[in-house]
Amino acid sequence: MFEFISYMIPTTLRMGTPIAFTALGGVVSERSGVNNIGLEGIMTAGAFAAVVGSYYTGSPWVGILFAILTGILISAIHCVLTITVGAKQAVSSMALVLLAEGICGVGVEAFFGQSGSSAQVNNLPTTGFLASVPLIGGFLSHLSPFVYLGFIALILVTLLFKFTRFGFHITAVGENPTMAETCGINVHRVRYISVLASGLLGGLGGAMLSIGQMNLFQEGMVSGRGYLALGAVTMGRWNPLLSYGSAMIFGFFDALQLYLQTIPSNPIPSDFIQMIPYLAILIILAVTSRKMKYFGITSGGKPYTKYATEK
Amino acid sequence: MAEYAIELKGITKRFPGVVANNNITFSVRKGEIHALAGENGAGKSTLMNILFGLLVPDEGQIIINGKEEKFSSPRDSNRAGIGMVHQHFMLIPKLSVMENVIIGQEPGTSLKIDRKKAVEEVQAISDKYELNIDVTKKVGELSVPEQQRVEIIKVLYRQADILIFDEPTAVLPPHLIDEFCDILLSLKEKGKTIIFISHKLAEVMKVSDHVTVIRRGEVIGTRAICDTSIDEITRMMVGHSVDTGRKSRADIKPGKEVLSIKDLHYTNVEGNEKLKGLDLSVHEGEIVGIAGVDGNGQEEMEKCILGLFKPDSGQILFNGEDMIGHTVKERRDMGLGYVAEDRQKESLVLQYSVAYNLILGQHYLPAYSKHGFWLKKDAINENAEKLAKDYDIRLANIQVAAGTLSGGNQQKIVIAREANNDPKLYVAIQPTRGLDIGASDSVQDTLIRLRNENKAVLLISMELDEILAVSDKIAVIFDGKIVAVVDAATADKESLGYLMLGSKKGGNE
Repeated sequence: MFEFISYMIPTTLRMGTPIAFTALGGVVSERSGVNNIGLEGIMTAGAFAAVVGSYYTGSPWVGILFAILTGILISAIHCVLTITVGAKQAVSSMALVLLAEGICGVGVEAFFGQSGSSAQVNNLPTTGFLASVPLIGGFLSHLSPFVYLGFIALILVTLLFKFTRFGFHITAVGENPTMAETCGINVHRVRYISVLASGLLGGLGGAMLSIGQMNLFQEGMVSGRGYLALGAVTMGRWNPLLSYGSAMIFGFFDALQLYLQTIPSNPIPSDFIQMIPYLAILIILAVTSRKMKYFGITSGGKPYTKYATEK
Repeated sequence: MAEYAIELKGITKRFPGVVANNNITFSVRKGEIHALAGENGAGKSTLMNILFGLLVPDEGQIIINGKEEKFSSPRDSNRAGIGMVHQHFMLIPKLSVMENVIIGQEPGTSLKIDRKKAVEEVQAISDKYELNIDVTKKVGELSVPEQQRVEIIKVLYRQADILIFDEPTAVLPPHLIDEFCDILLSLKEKGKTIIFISHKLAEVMKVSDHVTVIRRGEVIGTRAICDTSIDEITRMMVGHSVDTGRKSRADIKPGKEVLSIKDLHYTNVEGNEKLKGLDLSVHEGEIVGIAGVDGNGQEEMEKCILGLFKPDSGQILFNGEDMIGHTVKERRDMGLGYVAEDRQKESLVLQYSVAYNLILGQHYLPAYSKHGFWLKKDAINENAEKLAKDYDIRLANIQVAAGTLSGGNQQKIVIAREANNDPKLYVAIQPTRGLDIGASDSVQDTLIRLRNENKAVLLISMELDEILAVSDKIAVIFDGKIVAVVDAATADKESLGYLMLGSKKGGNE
């Protein structure tokens, strides 16, 4: 049992944090009234960019920087399409997912001359800087710096909504953009910043998949985690902490399926075991979604045209 | 010191195809209550949105306190001391009163909003103007009149000296209109200048110092209230005199009972019980008007009758047969005509031609389709030509999209279509909302005609004047129940107002 727990806790954090990063991004974007299903694509692009950055400079930290910038860049496309032009958010998002996956697929061949996966690069090793903490120090030393970055992101996003003026404006813009505008808030600016922030966080989530958990990029490695993150946002009722927690629940099931696969002479085919996290989210969402409408973002998903230019 | 708080000179605003404001010129003195009267679509709201900075005029000058201003956003007008209480409240129900008030002008630093200070400041305004709002409550928990007071606090918080009220009394029950007028007067007493948009002339007469009348985008004139009368203002508004008051009708006795609702209960998704044992009866040859403040179960009752909502318990008998369990289509086939509240969303397909809209929901009938599959174009067009003529639907031809017509003509399509299928029961929800006097008149005449033809008519309206003018019987709905049924011919507005608020006759709360 002890062995199980000591396996599950770090593995849950390891598997859950990429989803959590992206979920936090989803919270920021959706609270401002812009759905960003494109986070799946942003994660893919982030994962790829991180590998590229690390490959060329040898530094995984530069890889992270690349991932962040790429995430912001892709969400900037989403901003222009949905906020400025007023395109359907779902269509724009789906296009971004396909675009990102396509570019990364081609990119793997272009940068590494091989198809399917990149060369191995320097990854971000686990950090021992808390190893001297009594009792749990040994356990902490198995954690990736990404996990700590995830905690920091959670704290920052929580503070953003709890205390800051900008966080308050995000809520106002997501609930009633017309009202926000009459109160002197620049709706488009708030939405732009929120969506760009979601790209930043999504890029980080992607980077953790490629240079945090592994040391290379594989096509299809995101495999729906961006969508899982959006599920976590809904489950977490657009609250940063709850969304983070929901992401960790998915991380838990992912860890569980990994654990089950390590059991020797397991009679269940691994394909079925790998379904566990996805089945879990389906079941959880089915159970928790009933009253979600009540918590939803009132003007979520609707483009906002400035009043003065509209009429 | 300039004598005028606001001077508008030659304001013109054109939208594609219409001139919403044409060379509007008038002035508002400092510290007065200035009413702006006019029919729907006369251009009042456009003008006020220009003054508020939401719209930019094509021509003209805005002079505030003697200084010419150019507004390109509400932020600009706010800086000049102008605040607006919107008709559809600009509030976020999920947030507290305090939060709603401070949005955009939060005290504290950008990293930390000073919530404690905010609560104090906002509460201080509520107390100073005796608005009686607990600012820590969520706006969603407040009643509509309370929410209106929150809007007022919001404007005062922004230190506006000029307050624009857009149709403020449209959302208030009669009893609270007096109270609202008192608030206006006390704001005036404290030195604020107020522009009060309304087409309810009784209130205009009661509180204003001056009234400016707008018709079809042009100023007809400005009068001092002491020198004018309701009759004169009405004439200025509509261009001819109109008789108000009860509609004349054929002298017939109500026939057999068509609709009988017994002990109806309904709980919505959020778990709130909205109908709590509602009883109602409508007979042939009578119009029953439902009077009540919005949100007391009107919508739930009406949707239960149509079949969109499934009641928890109770009966809805239609000519003796229980309608519950029947689909919407079956109910319509039984003889239910239904004029929905939102014509654009619930009654029409705006992209379809007028001809098609005039058969929606009846398209499968043999009259309009062969074997229920092939549409009979000729019959459909013939029907449309006839109805357009009978109901005076003004259009270029019956093939134009319904969305291109004015609101009044759109509503006439719905009214005509629902009356055309020989309904036994005709349910009309807010049938004249947003219509001007001419179109309202024609809609109300249709209701009376149906009644004279011995149909049962159920009218739900938030306009008590309309209920009084059209109904034979008035059923007052409050908190999910019909609390009183009175004869419309002898009903008086004031006691209805009290009933609508759930208090017994004449008693104070």
